[in-house]
Amino acid sequence: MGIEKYTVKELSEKLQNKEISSVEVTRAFLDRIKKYDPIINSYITVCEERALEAAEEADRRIAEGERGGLLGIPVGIKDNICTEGITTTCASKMLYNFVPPYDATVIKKLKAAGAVIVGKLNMDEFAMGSSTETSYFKKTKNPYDTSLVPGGSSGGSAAAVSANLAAFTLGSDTGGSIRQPAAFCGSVGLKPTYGLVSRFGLIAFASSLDQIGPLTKTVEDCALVLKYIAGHDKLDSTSVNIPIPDYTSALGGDIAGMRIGVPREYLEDGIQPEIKKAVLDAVKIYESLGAACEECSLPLTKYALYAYYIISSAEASSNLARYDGVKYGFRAENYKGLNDMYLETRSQGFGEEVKRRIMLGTFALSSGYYDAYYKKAQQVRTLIRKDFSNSFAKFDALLTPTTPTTAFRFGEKADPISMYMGDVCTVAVNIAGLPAISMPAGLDSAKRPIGIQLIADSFNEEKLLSLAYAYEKTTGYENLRPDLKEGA
Amino acid sequence: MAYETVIGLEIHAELSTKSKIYCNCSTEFGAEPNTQTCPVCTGMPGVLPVLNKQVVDFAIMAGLAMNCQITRFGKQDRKNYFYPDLPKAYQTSQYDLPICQNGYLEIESNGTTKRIGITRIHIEEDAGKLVHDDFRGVSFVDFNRCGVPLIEIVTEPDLRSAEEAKAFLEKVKAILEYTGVSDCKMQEGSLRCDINLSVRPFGQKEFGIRTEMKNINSFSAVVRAIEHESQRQIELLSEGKEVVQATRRWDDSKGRSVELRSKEEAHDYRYFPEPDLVPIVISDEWIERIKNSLPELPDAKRKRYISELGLPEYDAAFITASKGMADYFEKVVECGAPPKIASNWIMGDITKLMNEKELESIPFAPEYLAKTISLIEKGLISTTAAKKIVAALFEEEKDPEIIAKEKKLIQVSDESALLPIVKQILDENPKAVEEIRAGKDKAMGFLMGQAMRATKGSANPQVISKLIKDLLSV
Amino acid sequence: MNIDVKHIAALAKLKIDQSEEEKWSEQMANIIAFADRLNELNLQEIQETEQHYTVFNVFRDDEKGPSYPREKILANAPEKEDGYYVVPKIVE
Repeated sequence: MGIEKYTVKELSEKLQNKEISSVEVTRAFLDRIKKYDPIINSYITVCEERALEAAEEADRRIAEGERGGLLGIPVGIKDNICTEGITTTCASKMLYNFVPPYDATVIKKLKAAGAVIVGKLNMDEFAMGSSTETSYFKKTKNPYDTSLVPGGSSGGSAAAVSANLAAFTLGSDTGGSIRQPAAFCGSVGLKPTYGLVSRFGLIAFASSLDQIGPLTKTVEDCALVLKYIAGHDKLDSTSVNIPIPDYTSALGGDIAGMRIGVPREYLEDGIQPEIKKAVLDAVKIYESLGAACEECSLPLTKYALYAYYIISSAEASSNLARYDGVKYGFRAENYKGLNDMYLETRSQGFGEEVKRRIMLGTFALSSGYYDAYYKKAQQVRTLIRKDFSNSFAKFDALLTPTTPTTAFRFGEKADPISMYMGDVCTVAVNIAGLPAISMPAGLDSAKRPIGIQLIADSFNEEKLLSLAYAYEKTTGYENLRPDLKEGA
Repeated sequence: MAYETVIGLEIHAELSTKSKIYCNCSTEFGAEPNTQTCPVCTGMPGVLPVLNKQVVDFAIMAGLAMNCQITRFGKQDRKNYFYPDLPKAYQTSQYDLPICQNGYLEIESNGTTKRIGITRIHIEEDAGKLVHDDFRGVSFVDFNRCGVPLIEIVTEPDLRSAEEAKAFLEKVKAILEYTGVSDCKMQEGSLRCDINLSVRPFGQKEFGIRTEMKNINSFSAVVRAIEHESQRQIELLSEGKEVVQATRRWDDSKGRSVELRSKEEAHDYRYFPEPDLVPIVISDEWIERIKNSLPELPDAKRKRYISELGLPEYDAAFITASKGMADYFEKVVECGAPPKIASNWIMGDITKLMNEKELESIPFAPEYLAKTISLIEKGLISTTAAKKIVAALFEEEKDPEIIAKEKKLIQVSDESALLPIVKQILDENPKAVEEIRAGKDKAMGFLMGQAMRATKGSANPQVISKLIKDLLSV
Repeated sequence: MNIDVKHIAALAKLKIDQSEEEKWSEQMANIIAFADRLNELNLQEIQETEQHYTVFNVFRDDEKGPSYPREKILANAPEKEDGYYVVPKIVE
């Protein structure tokens, strides 16, 4: 394997030193995609021509003396982030032919930084799912073991980074959709604080929970990408107007004296023993580095899951109502009149999981049930925030597993509730709007990646990144890579 | 059995902002279809709204002008339903925390002042327009109007007649025009009114079952719709039948309403707080700032015209009903015209001509009306001539003095110039002179006619009359 | 609990075959039962509006800007004619 194995940081140095060109780097990734993606299936759309044009442009900028951490670096974009002129499908039949006439704000930022968009990545349909199995187009495979799911909903993003099919990728996280697939595929995945990264151009699933974030090979890469994509956007009313620090400068500092809490509710029964062990081993590592670790309690943890499914489904049922066959996307072929056109279009255009969430959400908002479900869930949200706030009065960060199990087999979680239960370690973070990072913590005995999670208080990404960096440098787990088989 | 009609109104007014409520597309009326849109107002995947501050300013202003309490913590909510003119399949509106609540307006009804309660005023976005082609079984959708900001004004069921409703609407229109909040052009759709109406036997406390009427496009249609629906309901109840609670579509050309087929499922709008927008926190300073920027409102202006300009009640009410007319009137008075004379002209000939020509505003400068009036005062033209000049001003805006000269309307009022002519007329008509001396006034008219003929109509008849009387010492 | 699946589907403009109604009803009932666990918590003192609002009063100025060219906006329309989107009429 050639240059595709390098981190963003390393690639950037080589590009700046003119050891290689962006065109060479981009071609290398494109070739690798041709070779291995027929098996992995991480990309829905590969933009070869555009990518090479962008790479040429980046080379020109480098030649003119411009420097930048993402200049000339190939990136894969989850297919729910709008890219002007490139089909953006949300892995759904409903948007199979939708070509946005505008770029999402994060895309504008990446282009300004000179990143090279290589393609659009597979996902669970409309970001609803935890395995990428609900994609209308294809099933992405876990690069470590292609009989296993890569996780979801940013399964394509995680698999692509893990298999070196992009130098870094962007995903989105509503209930764990960056962190869980990152954990399953052995990548680093960060969900920023709600409001840190603009949502303009992110095709909405649950407006009060969604955030775009990076998936990378290393923590340093993650900090670098975050620096470029974070920041106030006047097109997003929920985006926060605060100065963005240079997240990379927080790395490598001394973490002695930092206080880490380990909430016991996250290590209860149902967590795979090897994952529990990974968390406890991490505790030892942090203690050896001078941090103070202590068990703590977040009593409302399990309620977060119930609140999450109500709030996210309710918001999704409203956000997905615009898919009606009138303005863009799929329209059914045969119908009698307007109402029938709506019914046929939406019933044929959406997959089962999406329909399930829409039904649930519609119910939770409907007359007679709003108070009992949606309103109640929002009230619980306030309590969960308080739960976390109390912890952060004592701790700099919380350490938990990212997932209760490692990657599972395709078709293994056919029952919706069993699939939803897999989100138990990640959803509370979205409910509370907090930042969290999943980092690789080795492999289990079946050689499946384990991921562990750090959670910090709002806008404390620097703490997360410095703690994650310290763990990574001590363990070297970021160097683990899957063996890939070539595709047909 | 005598019945009482109970009416409440829901009024939608398009705000006079330059850009839409959540994006910066233009709000101008009349553009080619779908040329004033963007991904935000057409509900494309991934877009987000950002609230136009002017919309909140206008809502607060309307609320203050209508004696409302202004909320300190407002939020916006989604109203979810499917229709092709609604691209997001929800309308962003306000549910339980509207910008304004608990206001009122006073109207004149049967010679007394009556207070009509205003339940709330809230902000929301307009939907697009549909053009139906029944023959082909399709509709065409234009999203230009999508996202144009609206305020919705909801009244208490305090109105009791069509006249009251009309008076109330005229009051609302005047206030919105005066404050610049809306241009209130019903024919352009910038002011729309839905009518909630029920009847009950006089003296009964409980309200009857009410219907909601839509598609009312003028103030006179409001009157017709109310009278018709009130009658319809009374007839039903008199026959022992029940009023069906429903939405009805008023057809003004047919003079009746039709019950809209109830949908398969009742409208459950599933209101919930808009997660893409943040709360609106209104401070005392903000309210104070808007209060200080309020212009003189119709009632205050009316009172001032009566007390300071000496206009009678009727004139003051007439002129202040429209901001355009009031502004015009004030400028005419500023140019020196006596207020009552200015108002006579405006209420009389000018309004008549405006109605005939279906004009919204007076097509010539107020200075020209003032000048016309001063020409009369100076005796240079007669009142009849002035009417001709005003009519001419409606066709072409020109200096009235030039019009007077062109149309040979200048009259001679100079006594010394007219005296010899009058003398000559008297000399030539001794019989008429005798008759006048004998008390027969008819001859006066004859002599005046002669004098006018001799001066080719340019003599000031009052001066002629005076000279004749002087010379004859009568 | 008995959920009126037909009614919910109609509100959401989704078609549920009669044969599937029972499956949906059961599935939704299970998920709702899962969510009913929220009733274990005492929520009396929490106001709904205490939500996650850390940001208030985000506004834009009332400035007119250029709209998108019509062809760009209509490019994705499933059916269009003479600058309009075309939809079927409501059939009574």
